[in-house]
Amino acid sequence: MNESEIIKRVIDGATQEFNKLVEAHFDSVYRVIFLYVKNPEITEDLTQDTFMKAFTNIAAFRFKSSFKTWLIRIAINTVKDYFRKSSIKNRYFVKCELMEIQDFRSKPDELLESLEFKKFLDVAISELPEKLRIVYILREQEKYSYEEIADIIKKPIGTVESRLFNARKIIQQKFLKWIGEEK
Amino acid sequence: MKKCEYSKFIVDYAYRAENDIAREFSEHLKNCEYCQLLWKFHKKLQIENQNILINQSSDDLKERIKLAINRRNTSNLDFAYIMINRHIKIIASIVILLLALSVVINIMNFSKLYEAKNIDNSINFVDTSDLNEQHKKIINSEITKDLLLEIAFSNE
Repeated sequence: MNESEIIKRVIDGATQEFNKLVEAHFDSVYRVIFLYVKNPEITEDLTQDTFMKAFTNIAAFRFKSSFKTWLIRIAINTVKDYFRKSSIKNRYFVKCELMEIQDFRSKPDELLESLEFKKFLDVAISELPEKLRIVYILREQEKYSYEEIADIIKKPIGTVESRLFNARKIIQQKFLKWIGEEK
Repeated sequence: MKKCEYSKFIVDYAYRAENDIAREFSEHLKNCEYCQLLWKFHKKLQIENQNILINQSSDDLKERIKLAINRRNTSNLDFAYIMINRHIKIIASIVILLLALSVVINIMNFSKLYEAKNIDNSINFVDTSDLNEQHKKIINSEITKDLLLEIAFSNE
């Protein structure tokens, strides 16, 4: 039975079939939410909310996009709702003191392999503006196609490309600042 | 390390396939320390993005989600909630329609009362000369408005 048939059966009342959809898409939903909020407890809650919303509103699924795209869109909206309702001003859970990296300046290869570089990346990505961050996460970390991302965020492909370019550029600028090449 | 003008193109170059890179830039890359660093940075970024590890207790959570959905299936209250949620617009429309209808009925009743009050007032000017004695007696006594209206509209 393919996915469309499962969805139709769920809409027709065979609600137990929804478990198959949870099984198939759980990892994608969990990963996207985690990459966004960087907190396991909140990720668990929001993942559960996402699936409950999808289950409650499955009759509204029109088969115009893939079910996964529809689900990821719900996940992103759930994350946004969470941030809005909880009035969290600082949305970035990843906070760590970046080490002094002066010692690495003459050894860029060592720098790029260091634990500090991984920490830097975490912070740099989580500090991206929300619009750029979600495109960056979906493309670079989850490997969605430009078309899929455009479908998820409901923007043209050109917007996806420019947001991705800007995100990469911002991370590059942060990197240069971090290593002391730019003020 | 000296800042390089070519570095403004590095983002574009770093995400293209290797054989798409212009020969001119490829040559430059071999000699420029600054561009090399940025090039390595973006390549490392791509690898790191692929290697993201998430500590997820997925099986446990998956089971909890399935249980929650099953609970929803079996709970009548939840089902009623879902149904109300789905049909909330229809229910709201019916309530608004009923309210509007009751307002119209009230306005109609009020206008009837207003009309009756006008008739009531005009009765004071009714000529009683043709009325028989019994009616005159009633009119002269303390009578109710209803009775007066009944007399005024009677054919006797």
